Amino acid sequence: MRFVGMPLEKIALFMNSTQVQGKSQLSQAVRLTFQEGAFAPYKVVGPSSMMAWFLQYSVMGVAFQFFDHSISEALGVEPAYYGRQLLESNQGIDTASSPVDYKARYAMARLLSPIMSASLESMVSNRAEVQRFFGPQQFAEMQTRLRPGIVTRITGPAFVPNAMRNIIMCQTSFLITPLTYKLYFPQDHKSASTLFWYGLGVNMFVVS
Amino acid sequence: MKPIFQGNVAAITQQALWGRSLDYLRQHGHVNYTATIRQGLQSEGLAAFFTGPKWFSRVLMNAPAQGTLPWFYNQVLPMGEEAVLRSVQAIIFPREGLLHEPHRFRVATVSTASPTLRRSNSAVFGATSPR
Repeated sequence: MRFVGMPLEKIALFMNSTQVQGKSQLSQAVRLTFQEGAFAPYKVVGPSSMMAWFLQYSVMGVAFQFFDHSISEALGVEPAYYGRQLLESNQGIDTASSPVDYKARYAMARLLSPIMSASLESMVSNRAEVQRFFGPQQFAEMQTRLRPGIVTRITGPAFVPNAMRNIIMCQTSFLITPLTYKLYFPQDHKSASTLFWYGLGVNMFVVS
Repeated sequence: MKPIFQGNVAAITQQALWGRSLDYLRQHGHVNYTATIRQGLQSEGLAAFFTGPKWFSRVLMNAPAQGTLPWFYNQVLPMGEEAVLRSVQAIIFPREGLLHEPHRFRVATVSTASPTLRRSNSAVFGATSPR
Protein backbone atom coordinates (compact mmCIF):
# COMPACT_ATOMS: atom_id res chain seq x y z
CA MET A 1 0.00 0.00 0.00
CA ARG A 2 2.79 2.40 0.90
CA PHE A 3 4.80 1.52 -2.22
CA VAL A 4 1.81 2.05 -4.52
CA GLY A 5 1.18 5.37 -2.80
CA MET A 6 4.73 6.64 -3.31
CA PRO A 7 3.69 9.46 -5.69
CA LEU A 8 1.36 10.76 -2.97
CA GLU A 9 4.13 10.49 -0.39
CA LYS A 10 6.57 12.39 -2.60
CA ILE A 11 3.97 15.11 -3.19
CA ALA A 12 3.49 15.41 0.59
CA LEU A 13 7.27 15.47 1.15
CA PHE A 14 7.73 18.28 -1.37
CA MET A 15 4.74 20.15 0.03
CA ASN A 16 6.36 20.11 3.46
CA SER A 17 9.81 21.23 2.33
CA THR A 18 11.39 24.49 1.23
CA GLN A 19 11.36 23.32 -2.39
CA VAL A 20 7.87 24.73 -2.98
CA GLN A 21 7.13 28.36 -2.22
CA GLY A 22 4.59 31.05 -2.95
CA LYS A 23 1.37 30.30 -4.80
CA SER A 24 0.19 26.99 -6.32
CA GLN A 25 2.41 24.91 -4.07
CA LEU A 26 0.44 21.74 -4.74
CA SER A 27 1.02 21.97 -8.50
CA GLN A 28 4.70 22.79 -7.84
CA ALA A 29 4.94 19.65 -5.70
CA VAL A 30 3.25 17.51 -8.37
CA ARG A 31 5.63 18.88 -11.01
CA LEU A 32 8.69 18.15 -8.81
CA THR A 33 7.41 14.65 -8.08
CA PHE A 34 7.20 13.70 -11.75
CA GLN A 35 9.92 15.92 -13.24
CA GLU A 36 12.20 12.91 -13.78
CA GLY A 37 9.53 10.67 -15.20
CA ALA A 38 6.27 8.97 -14.27
CA PHE A 39 8.06 6.30 -12.23
CA ALA A 40 10.51 8.65 -10.51
CA PRO A 41 8.65 8.48 -7.14
CA TYR A 42 9.24 4.73 -7.02
CA LYS A 43 12.99 5.02 -7.65
CA VAL A 44 13.65 6.42 -4.17
CA VAL A 45 12.40 3.24 -2.50
CA GLY A 46 15.32 1.09 -1.41
CA PRO A 47 15.60 -2.10 0.63
CA SER A 48 15.72 -0.10 3.86
CA SER A 49 12.28 1.37 3.07
CA MET A 50 10.82 -2.07 2.42
CA MET A 51 12.25 -3.32 5.72
CA ALA A 52 11.09 -0.22 7.60
CA TRP A 53 7.53 -0.51 6.22
CA PHE A 54 7.41 -4.17 7.16
CA LEU A 55 8.59 -3.46 10.69
CA GLN A 56 6.34 -0.42 11.08
CA TYR A 57 3.14 -2.26 10.24
CA SER A 58 3.97 -5.63 11.75
CA VAL A 59 5.57 -4.49 14.97
CA MET A 60 3.95 -1.17 15.86
CA GLY A 61 0.77 -2.65 17.32
CA VAL A 62 2.72 -5.14 19.39
CA ALA A 63 5.16 -2.44 20.48
CA PHE A 64 2.31 -0.20 21.61
CA GLN A 65 0.76 -3.09 23.53
CA PHE A 66 4.06 -3.90 25.19
CA PHE A 67 4.66 -0.33 26.34
CA ASP A 68 1.02 0.33 27.23
CA HIS A 69 0.73 -2.79 29.39
CA SER A 70 4.16 -2.37 30.97
CA ILE A 71 3.59 1.28 31.85
CA SER A 72 0.01 0.65 32.99
CA GLU A 73 1.13 -2.15 35.26
CA ALA A 74 3.97 -0.04 36.67
CA LEU A 75 1.56 2.82 37.41
CA GLY A 76 -1.21 0.56 38.71
CA VAL A 77 -3.88 1.42 36.15
CA GLU A 78 -5.87 -0.37 33.46
CA PRO A 79 -4.34 -0.53 29.97
CA ALA A 80 -5.97 1.20 27.00
CA TYR A 81 -9.10 -0.34 25.49
CA TYR A 82 -8.18 -2.97 22.97
CA GLY A 83 -9.63 -5.66 20.70
CA ARG A 84 -13.03 -7.02 21.62
CA GLN A 85 -13.37 -4.54 24.48
CA LEU A 86 -14.19 -1.92 21.86
CA LEU A 87 -17.31 -3.81 20.85
CA GLU A 88 -18.51 -4.29 24.40
CA SER A 89 -20.99 -1.93 26.00
CA ASN A 90 -19.69 1.14 27.77
CA GLN A 91 -22.42 0.79 30.41
CA GLY A 92 -21.00 0.90 33.92
CA ILE A 93 -17.90 2.86 32.98
CA ASP A 94 -17.88 5.89 35.22
CA THR A 95 -14.59 7.68 34.86
CA ALA A 96 -15.86 10.78 36.64
CA SER A 97 -15.97 9.11 40.04
CA SER A 98 -12.43 7.69 39.92
CA PRO A 99 -9.98 9.02 42.52
CA VAL A 100 -7.90 11.95 41.36
CA ASP A 101 -4.61 10.14 41.83
CA TYR A 102 -5.88 7.25 39.72
CA LYS A 103 -6.93 9.67 36.97
CA ALA A 104 -3.47 11.26 37.07
CA ARG A 105 -1.72 7.89 36.80
CA TYR A 106 -4.11 6.79 34.05
CA ALA A 107 -3.42 9.98 32.09
CA MET A 108 0.33 9.53 32.60
CA ALA A 109 0.14 5.98 31.22
CA ARG A 110 -1.81 7.17 28.16
CA LEU A 111 0.76 9.92 27.67
CA LEU A 112 3.86 7.77 27.99
CA SER A 113 2.92 4.72 25.93
CA PRO A 114 2.55 6.64 22.61
CA ILE A 115 5.82 8.46 23.32
CA MET A 116 7.70 5.20 23.85
CA SER A 117 6.17 3.28 20.94
CA ALA A 118 6.33 6.20 18.48
CA SER A 119 9.97 6.84 19.37
CA LEU A 120 10.66 3.21 18.61
CA GLU A 121 8.77 3.56 15.33
CA SER A 122 10.86 6.58 14.37
CA MET A 123 14.05 4.71 15.17
CA VAL A 124 12.89 2.09 12.67
CA SER A 125 11.47 4.39 10.01
CA ASN A 126 13.14 7.82 10.07
CA ARG A 127 16.34 6.83 8.29
CA ALA A 128 14.34 5.18 5.49
CA GLU A 129 12.05 8.24 5.23
CA VAL A 130 15.07 10.51 4.90
CA GLN A 131 16.42 8.22 2.18
CA ARG A 132 13.12 8.56 0.30
CA PHE A 133 13.23 12.34 0.78
CA PHE A 134 16.67 12.72 -0.79
CA GLY A 135 16.76 9.59 -2.96
CA PRO A 136 19.21 6.73 -2.33
CA GLN A 137 22.13 8.22 -4.29
CA GLN A 138 22.02 11.70 -2.79
CA PHE A 139 21.49 10.29 0.68
CA ALA A 140 24.50 7.97 0.34
CA GLU A 141 26.60 10.86 -0.96
CA MET A 142 25.56 13.04 1.99
CA GLN A 143 26.32 10.28 4.48
CA THR A 144 29.82 10.01 3.02
CA ARG A 145 30.38 13.76 2.90
CA LEU A 146 28.92 14.75 6.27
CA ARG A 147 30.14 11.77 8.32
CA PRO A 148 27.33 11.85 10.92
CA GLY A 149 27.81 10.50 14.43
CA ILE A 150 26.81 6.98 15.35
CA VAL A 151 23.43 8.03 16.79
CA THR A 152 22.46 10.08 13.72
CA ARG A 153 23.74 7.32 11.47
CA ILE A 154 21.35 4.86 13.15
CA THR A 155 18.29 7.07 13.63
CA GLY A 156 18.69 9.34 10.62
CA PRO A 157 18.79 13.17 10.68
CA ALA A 158 15.87 15.32 11.90
CA PHE A 159 14.74 12.56 14.22
CA VAL A 160 12.91 14.82 16.71
CA PRO A 161 10.14 16.22 14.43
CA ASN A 162 9.69 12.77 12.92
CA ALA A 163 9.16 11.29 16.38
CA MET A 164 6.85 14.16 17.39
CA ARG A 165 4.69 13.54 14.33
CA ASN A 166 4.57 9.81 15.04
CA ILE A 167 3.59 10.39 18.66
CA ILE A 168 0.55 12.35 17.49
CA MET A 169 -0.34 9.73 14.88
CA CYS A 170 0.14 6.97 17.46
CA GLN A 171 -2.22 8.74 19.86
CA THR A 172 -4.76 8.96 17.05
CA SER A 173 -4.58 5.34 15.93
CA PHE A 174 -4.17 3.54 19.22
CA LEU A 175 -5.91 5.83 21.72
CA ILE A 176 -8.29 8.45 20.32
CA THR A 177 -9.97 6.30 17.68
CA PRO A 178 -10.51 3.23 19.91
CA LEU A 179 -11.46 5.34 22.94
CA THR A 180 -14.07 7.44 21.14
CA TYR A 181 -15.45 4.37 19.38
CA LYS A 182 -15.71 2.48 22.65
CA LEU A 183 -17.32 5.29 24.63
CA TYR A 184 -19.40 7.23 22.11
CA PHE A 185 -20.27 4.99 19.14
CA PRO A 186 -23.88 3.70 19.29
CA GLN A 187 -23.78 0.24 20.84
CA ASP A 188 -26.37 -1.19 18.42
CA HIS A 189 -24.13 -0.40 15.47
CA LYS A 190 -20.81 -1.61 16.85
CA SER A 191 -19.10 -4.22 14.65
CA ALA A 192 -15.77 -4.93 12.96
CA SER A 193 -17.15 -3.28 9.83
CA THR A 194 -18.21 -0.04 11.53
CA LEU A 195 -14.90 0.09 13.40
CA PHE A 196 -13.10 -0.11 10.05
CA TRP A 197 -15.10 2.74 8.52
CA TYR A 198 -15.06 4.79 11.71
CA GLY A 199 -11.26 4.57 11.91
CA LEU A 200 -10.90 5.44 8.24
CA GLY A 201 -13.34 8.34 8.49
CA VAL A 202 -11.81 9.78 11.65
CA ASN A 203 -8.29 9.58 10.23
CA MET A 204 -9.19 10.93 6.79
CA PHE A 205 -11.52 13.75 7.64
CA VAL A 206 -10.82 14.66 11.24
CA VAL A 207 -7.39 13.70 12.45
CA SER A 208 -4.99 12.80 9.63
CA MET B 1 -13.23 17.67 17.83
CA LYS B 2 -11.43 20.97 18.11
CA PRO B 3 -8.60 19.66 20.35
CA ILE B 4 -8.20 16.67 18.01
CA PHE B 5 -7.91 18.91 14.99
CA GLN B 6 -5.39 21.08 16.84
CA GLY B 7 -3.38 17.94 17.52
CA ASN B 8 -3.53 17.22 13.84
CA VAL B 9 -2.31 20.69 12.97
CA ALA B 10 0.65 20.04 15.27
CA ALA B 11 1.41 16.84 13.36
CA ILE B 12 1.47 18.72 10.04
CA THR B 13 3.79 21.35 11.50
CA GLN B 14 6.16 18.58 12.61
CA GLN B 15 6.08 17.10 9.10
CA ALA B 16 6.97 20.52 7.68
CA LEU B 17 9.72 21.03 10.26
CA TRP B 18 11.14 17.63 9.36
CA GLY B 19 11.19 18.41 5.62
CA ARG B 20 12.62 21.89 6.11
CA SER B 21 15.27 20.55 8.50
CA LEU B 22 16.41 18.12 5.81
CA ASP B 23 16.61 20.95 3.28
CA TYR B 24 18.65 22.91 5.85
CA LEU B 25 20.90 19.86 6.27
CA ARG B 26 21.44 19.69 2.51
CA GLN B 27 22.47 23.35 2.41
CA HIS B 28 24.48 23.68 5.62
CA GLY B 29 25.66 20.18 6.43
CA HIS B 30 23.96 19.99 9.81
CA VAL B 31 20.46 20.13 11.33
CA ASN B 32 19.48 23.26 13.25
CA TYR B 33 15.82 23.36 14.28
CA THR B 34 15.91 26.93 15.61
CA ALA B 35 17.42 28.32 12.42
CA THR B 36 15.03 26.22 10.31
CA ILE B 37 11.99 27.60 12.13
CA ARG B 38 13.33 31.17 11.95
CA GLN B 39 14.03 30.91 8.22
CA GLY B 40 10.60 29.42 7.55
CA LEU B 41 8.77 32.10 9.49
CA GLN B 42 10.79 34.86 7.82
CA SER B 43 10.17 33.57 4.30
CA GLU B 44 6.54 32.42 4.47
CA GLY B 45 5.22 33.14 7.95
CA LEU B 46 3.05 30.47 9.54
CA ALA B 47 2.28 29.13 6.05
CA ALA B 48 5.76 27.59 6.08
CA PHE B 49 4.48 25.07 8.60
CA PHE B 50 0.76 24.75 7.98
CA THR B 51 -1.55 25.42 5.05
CA GLY B 52 -4.66 23.72 3.73
CA PRO B 53 -2.80 22.17 0.77
CA LYS B 54 -0.07 20.86 3.11
CA TRP B 55 -2.76 19.19 5.20
CA PHE B 56 -4.54 17.89 2.10
CA SER B 57 -1.35 16.33 0.70
CA ARG B 58 -0.68 14.66 4.02
CA VAL B 59 -4.24 13.26 4.13
CA LEU B 60 -3.87 11.91 0.58
CA MET B 61 -0.59 10.24 1.45
CA ASN B 62 -1.39 8.89 4.86
CA ALA B 63 -5.10 8.36 5.32
CA PRO B 64 -5.53 4.94 3.65
CA ALA B 65 -2.73 3.34 5.67
CA GLN B 66 -3.25 5.31 8.86
CA GLY B 67 -7.04 5.10 8.69
CA THR B 68 -7.16 1.32 8.55
CA LEU B 69 -4.62 0.90 11.35
CA PRO B 70 -7.14 1.10 14.25
CA TRP B 71 -9.24 -1.62 12.62
CA PHE B 72 -6.13 -3.76 11.95
CA TYR B 73 -4.86 -3.24 15.48
CA ASN B 74 -8.12 -4.05 17.23
CA GLN B 75 -9.65 -6.67 14.95
CA VAL B 76 -6.88 -8.43 13.02
CA LEU B 77 -3.94 -8.37 15.42
CA PRO B 78 -5.86 -10.10 18.26
CA MET B 79 -6.60 -13.08 16.00
CA GLY B 80 -3.10 -14.52 16.25
CA GLU B 81 -2.27 -13.05 19.61
CA GLU B 82 -3.29 -15.99 21.78
CA ALA B 83 -1.30 -18.45 19.68
CA VAL B 84 1.81 -16.26 19.72
CA LEU B 85 1.61 -15.72 23.47
CA ARG B 86 1.11 -19.43 24.06
CA SER B 87 4.23 -20.11 21.99
CA VAL B 88 6.24 -17.52 23.86
CA GLN B 89 5.09 -18.90 27.18
CA ALA B 90 5.90 -22.43 26.07
CA ILE B 91 9.45 -21.34 25.24
CA ILE B 92 9.97 -19.33 28.43
CA PHE B 93 8.23 -21.74 30.81
CA PRO B 94 8.46 -25.12 29.00
CA ARG B 95 7.83 -27.23 32.11
CA GLU B 96 4.83 -25.50 33.53
CA GLY B 97 2.27 -26.91 31.15
CA LEU B 98 0.80 -23.53 30.48
CA LEU B 99 -0.20 -24.42 26.96
CA HIS B 100 -3.15 -26.30 28.38
CA GLU B 101 -4.12 -23.66 30.88
CA PRO B 102 -4.04 -20.32 29.12
CA HIS B 103 -5.98 -18.61 31.86
CA ARG B 104 -3.08 -19.09 34.26
CA PHE B 105 -0.74 -16.85 32.34
CA ARG B 106 -3.06 -14.04 31.63
CA VAL B 107 -1.84 -10.84 33.16
CA ALA B 108 -3.55 -10.03 36.39
CA THR B 109 -5.48 -6.81 36.12
CA VAL B 110 -3.97 -4.38 38.54
CA SER B 111 -5.39 -4.76 41.98
CA THR B 112 -5.25 -1.06 42.76
CA ALA B 113 -7.32 -0.16 39.73
CA SER B 114 -10.35 1.92 40.38
CA PRO B 115 -13.46 -0.30 40.40
CA THR B 116 -15.21 2.19 38.18
CA LEU B 117 -12.71 1.60 35.42
CA ARG B 118 -12.31 -2.15 35.70
CA ARG B 119 -13.11 -4.12 32.62
CA SER B 120 -14.33 -7.62 31.98
CA ASN B 121 -11.35 -9.18 30.25
CA SER B 122 -7.83 -9.06 31.58
CA ALA B 123 -4.85 -8.06 29.53
CA VAL B 124 -2.80 -10.77 27.94
CA PHE B 125 0.62 -9.25 27.54
CA GLY B 126 3.72 -9.68 29.65
CA ALA B 127 2.01 -12.14 31.91
CA THR B 128 3.51 -12.85 35.28
CA SER B 129 1.20 -13.37 38.17
CA PRO B 130 -1.80 -15.68 38.19
CA ARG B 131 -4.92 -14.45 39.87
